[in-house]
Parts: sequence; C-alpha cells; structure tokens
Amino acid sequence: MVDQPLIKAANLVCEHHDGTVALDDVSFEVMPGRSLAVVGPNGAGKSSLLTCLMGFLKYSGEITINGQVLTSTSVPQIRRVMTMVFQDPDDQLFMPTLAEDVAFGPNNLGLSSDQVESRVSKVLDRLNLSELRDRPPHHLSFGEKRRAALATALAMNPSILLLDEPTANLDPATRRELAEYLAGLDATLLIATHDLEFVKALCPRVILLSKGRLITEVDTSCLLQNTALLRNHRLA
Amino acid sequence: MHHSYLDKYARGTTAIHGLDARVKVLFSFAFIILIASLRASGFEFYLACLTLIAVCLIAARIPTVYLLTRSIVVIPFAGFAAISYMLTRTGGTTYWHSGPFAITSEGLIDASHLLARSWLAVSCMIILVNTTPFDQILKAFRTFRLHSILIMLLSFFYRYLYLLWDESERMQRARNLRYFGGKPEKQFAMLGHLVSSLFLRTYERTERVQMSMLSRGWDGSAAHVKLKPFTLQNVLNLVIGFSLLIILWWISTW
Repeated sequence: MVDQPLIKAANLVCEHHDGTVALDDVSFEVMPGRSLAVVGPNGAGKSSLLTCLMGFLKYSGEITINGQVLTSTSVPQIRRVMTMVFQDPDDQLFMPTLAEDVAFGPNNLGLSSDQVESRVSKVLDRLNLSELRDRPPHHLSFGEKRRAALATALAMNPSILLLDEPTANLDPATRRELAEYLAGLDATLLIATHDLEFVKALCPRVILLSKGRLITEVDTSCLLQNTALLRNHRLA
Repeated sequence: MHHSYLDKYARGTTAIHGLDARVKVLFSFAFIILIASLRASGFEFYLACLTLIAVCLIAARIPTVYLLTRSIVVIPFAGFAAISYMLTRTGGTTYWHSGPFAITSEGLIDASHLLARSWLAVSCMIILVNTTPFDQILKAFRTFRLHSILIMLLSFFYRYLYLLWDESERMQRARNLRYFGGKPEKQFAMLGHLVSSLFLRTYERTERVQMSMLSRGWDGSAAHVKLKPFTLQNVLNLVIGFSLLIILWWISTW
C-alpha cells in the first residue's frame, strides 16, 4: 500500500495584507517520516508558508493535512495533529509558569488533569527543563526559552511539527543539541530555515523558495553541492 | 527592567510565603478596603497599620529599602490627588488663600490621610506579590470566580510587561545612538513616534501570541486549572487575619 502524503499543498497562492505576494503557486508534498526543509533567503515566504499551513493566513489553492482538506471547520482537528514552534519563543510562552505553558495545549485537548501532568513532566524531563517548571518564562535564558517553546509544542504529541527558524540566535552547542533532539522525535518535521548545516542533519529533502515562488525541490545533498544555485538565492 | 523588579522575593520559603494564596489575597484586599473606607483615623491607627506592615516585612524577609523604593510609584498619583485635596478643602485654620484655592488645616489633614492610605495600600500589594508567586495569585482569583478574560489579561500583562519595557529601552537606545539634542517640540514628536511604534509592535506581538495559542488548540475558553482544596488550616489563618483587621478597625475608633 502506498503511503498518503502527510502534507499536500497544491497551487498555493497567498498575499500579505498590503497586497504583496507571499506565496505564488507553491506545490509540494511531505511523506510520513520524511522531514522536509523549506529554505530561502530572508523574505522568501518561508514563515508565510508555515502560517498558511496552520490555517492562519488566507490563501487560494488546496492544503491537505493527514488526509483532511484544510478549511475553517477542519482547522481545529488539524491542529490536534500538527502544531508549530514560532521563531520568537516569547510569542509562544505566555502563561505565568513554564509548567502551565506546557500544560496549555494538553488542557485544550481535553485530557484529564492526571494525563496533562504526566505529559508535562515527561516533556520537561526529556528537554532537561524539570527544574525550571515553576519559573515564569521571562526568568529563562534565550536557550531555555527556545527549548521551552519546543516543549509546549511537543506536549501536544503532534505527528507533524512545523518549526520556524529554530536555530535563530542559538549558540553552536545549543544548536547541535537541538538537532540531536529533533532527530530522535517520531514526528515528521517541516523546518523553515536558512541554516543549511541544520537542514543537512535533519531533512533528507528540501524545497527552495525565493520571492514566494518554489524554485526547486531536491535532495538536501544535491542542493548543498549546487553552489551556483545557493549563491543565486543568497544561501551561500 | 530586570525580570524580578516587581516580585524579587516571591519564591521565598518563610511562613508567610507558605500561607495559601487565597488567604493572602483575601486578607490583602480586606486590609485595603478597611483603610480606604475609614473616614477619619488617628495617629494610633496608622501606627498599628505600619506595625503590621513591618511585622510582615520582617517575617517574609523582605528588605525595608526594597519596599520603600518600590512604593515610591504611589507618589505621583496620590501626590497629585493630595495636592488638589490640600488646595480645595475648607475648614479649620486657613494658612494661605488665593482666589478659589486655600490651604487649611482640614485640607492638610485630608491630604496626609490620603497619602498615608495610598502608601499603605501599595505597600500591602508589594508584600502580597513578594510573598506569593503571581501564578498563585491568579489561581486565587480563579477561585473567587473572577472573569477568565480578566485573569488572562492580568496574566498577559505580567508576562509581557518586562518584554515591552525591554523593547522600549532598546528603541530608546537606538534613538540615543543617533540623537544629539534638539528643540523640546522635536523631542516630544520623537517620543510620540517611539510610543506609536511600540504600540504597533505590541499589536503585532498580540497577533503572534494569538496564533501560538490557536496552534495549541485554544478555542477562546479558559483552560481548566486544578485548585487545591481550602483546608481547615486556611480557614484558621483567615480567621486570625480578619481578627487583626477587626483590631485595626477598633483602634481607628479611638
């Protein structure tokens, strides 16, 4: 039996509020367990693509997530299986303590308080954040905030995880640890970044966006060897 | 602004820190209502209140200087109201008058009462937030059936206050790098630009925070929060607290 794609985007067109094109006729598929990177220079439309997939931006075309077409009525169901880690962890951490923030998603899933507590403890433990569980998010360092933001998403137990610039402002050691951690997850990842080393460590396939258009979809190793293409699109 | 500016001592381990948040919140609000509702009080009343504040400070191991520096915030607000009291109240000996304004002994007494009460109320709040983590205060509010939207607003206010402050400091720093003095009207215009761009940034952040909430299944309702049961010990603590307030009220009748 042939696997159905987990994410399928067909002829996606999306505009910003001011009328500038964010995405122009973008089509791609993500198969289960085959993480995909979205690379491109600043302003290429990477973040717009992720927010579009989460149902936050209006678009034309068709998005199918886990076999369900993305519509205003299917969005709540889709967000039960797919979640996102935002670029700025301060946008993601809004509850008074870290534990409450991690519990926010599971509480909204309707789990019992024991199940929520078990998930929170498990996720915080896996990310070495247990000691910080009662700290307010603004008492955390940037690296801790980044891990905490990831914890809030992982507590949802998503089968698809979207990450927007996950390595931005991280020191090399934290970046390496994050890559190692993400590599061990069961979820299929869709990572928007221009950190090619990070992409190489995690994603076998990559799509290159530039000015909202999909330039190419190739194996990561092929893209990394194509220096001319990388230079043309300000990635090298 | 440092992230512990408002509640540096909130996670202490003293007996006061160990009291249930609901008891402390109820006592604090009852204390404030008491000092605000008494029409005229003598020196003994304020001395008793001051003693209570001092005992709480010592028991919670909060430095007096910390309380004094944080409570300065009340001066511009209460001071302005006190000045208007001082200039508009009539009665008693008149020390000075000009047109509709006069400084009288009654006006001075009323103004000093206002200042003293405002300072006591702010001090009480500072002690509350420095003996109770903010999340516990919010949980206490939930127990008292405060509207969930209001609780969420308070929670966001606490969470993003520091961030907003840091953002405004960064903007000021960026301005100062390229600013070498100028006419006051230009400075006001620049201040206007800073405030408006801070507002826009805040607005954009609220959109991103809302997206983050929605992506984790939020549907507009407040999530269920498990609260500890209100024990007999809490009831006893509350009775002791309210007994102290009754003693304060009795002293005010002297």
